Amino acid sequence: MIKLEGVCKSYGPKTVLKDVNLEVEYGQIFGLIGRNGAGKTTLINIIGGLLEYDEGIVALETKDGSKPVIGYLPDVPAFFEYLTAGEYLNFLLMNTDAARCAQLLDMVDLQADVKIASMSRGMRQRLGIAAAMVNNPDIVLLDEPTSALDPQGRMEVMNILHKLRDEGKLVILSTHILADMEKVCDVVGFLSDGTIKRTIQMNQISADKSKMIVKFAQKVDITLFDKMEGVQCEKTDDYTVRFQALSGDMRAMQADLFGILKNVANPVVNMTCEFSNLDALFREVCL
Amino acid sequence: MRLELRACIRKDILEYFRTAKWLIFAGTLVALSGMVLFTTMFIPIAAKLMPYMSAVMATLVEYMFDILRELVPGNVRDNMGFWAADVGLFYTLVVAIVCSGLIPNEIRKGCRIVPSNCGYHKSTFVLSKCIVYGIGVTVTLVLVENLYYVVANLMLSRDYAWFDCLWSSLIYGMTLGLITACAIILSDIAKNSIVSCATLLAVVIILPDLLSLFNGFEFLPTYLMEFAYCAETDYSKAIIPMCLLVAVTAILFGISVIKNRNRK
Repeated sequence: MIKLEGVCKSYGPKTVLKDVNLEVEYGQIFGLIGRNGAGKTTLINIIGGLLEYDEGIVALETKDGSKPVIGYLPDVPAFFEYLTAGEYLNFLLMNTDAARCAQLLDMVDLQADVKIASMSRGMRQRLGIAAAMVNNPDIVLLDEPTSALDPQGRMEVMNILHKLRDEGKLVILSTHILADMEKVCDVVGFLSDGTIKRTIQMNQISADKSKMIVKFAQKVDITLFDKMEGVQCEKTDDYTVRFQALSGDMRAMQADLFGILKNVANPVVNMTCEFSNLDALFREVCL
Repeated sequence: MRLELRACIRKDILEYFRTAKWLIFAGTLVALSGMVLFTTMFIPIAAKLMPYMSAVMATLVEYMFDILRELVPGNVRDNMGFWAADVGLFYTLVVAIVCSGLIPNEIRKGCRIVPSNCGYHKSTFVLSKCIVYGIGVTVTLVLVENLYYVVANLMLSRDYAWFDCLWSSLIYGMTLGLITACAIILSDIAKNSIVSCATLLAVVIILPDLLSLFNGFEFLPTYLMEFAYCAETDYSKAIIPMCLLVAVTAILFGISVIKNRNRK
């Protein structure tokens, strides 16, 4: 588990983090969202033990209470350029486990004999992910792991992250690609003004997605929809009604709604789904 | 620690060869040797051309050759000393510039972050670089010095046994190897290649001349440079300075270990 209490960090007169509180459990993928310079990398470095913090408590422990092994991928991974991918991973493994090296290369789909100096940014990112997994970490810290990857590469990283969660590992992920966060994270935290302003469970956001807005040609009587169970109806104006499935079951809500609309004389002009996604939340919290 | 050091040494050997550091070191030595040999051979030839020059020019040139004859002797032993002095100046300069940048560059680029996370200690990186580059510099110097000896023996008057040359090259090579290690350790302590390079050059190039004015100079590590420049054959004179140089290197490494332990 990772537990941060009142963590503060300044670089000279500039305060980057002030009173950061955070708790993440094993088996969770925690997404860190924030603008450039919000302090995401600083926070990840503090959790990884690479940076001293000024105040607060950072407690990291495994399920059995011991000190966890941490895997870390920096935002711009730097390698020894003169080595090949295989040599680099073998070096990290201290030349003790050739099978693990082959397994890691296979996981990120890289050839052992490719020179790092000749690698594209995407290949370097994949090698960085493999490097972060070398010591079979309990906690994985990934700073912008998908920033240089093509859609296929991003999908592969997402699959790796899902696998890590299934293995019960704790993953902290920072990326500007919010669509990736939505796909993979269990919890997201919005870092703004040096503190985690809001944390939100991703299933809450999914439930938020279950909204439909229906606009009628004539003034609408909202009592028509009283029969719909588990649905909250709300008039936004005389002609428009917003429906929200409280259970998050959009399909059931749509089936009920279409059943009623068939028998209503008031014709439907427009019907849309209202998305309250991470992008909207990011704008709301961080901008 | 042993596994860690072994893996680090293997990586640094690959670095030494793949980034052409060996070529820089060997190239500098071969170029210096060529220069010294050319100068040695050129003086007698040029002297033969003197009668054909005008009287004023001939006086000037003869004066210049007299100085050069003093500096570049025609016998092997003294010539090897001249070679060592040139190497002491230029080769040390190249070695200091190249080696002082190794660790600060790795730190600046962030290459050590992931390995540190995998269990590598900062001091292991330093120790490994000292071993690989120290041995690299020593071996290159010993090989080129002995090669120069062979060539010099074919062209100059022979007054220096190969056994003496071998011993002398080993002592000189070890001296420069340990100086290389000091350059690397200093760059780790200062975290700055310019500071360490400047300090090292001052110690190697200026300090021996200054210290030679005082009593007891022959016991200090700086005497080892003088030992090579004079193609000295009394090897017992090198024991104490060499032991002191090893001790200085060990103390510097100890300081680096303590500083790294206290540093995030």
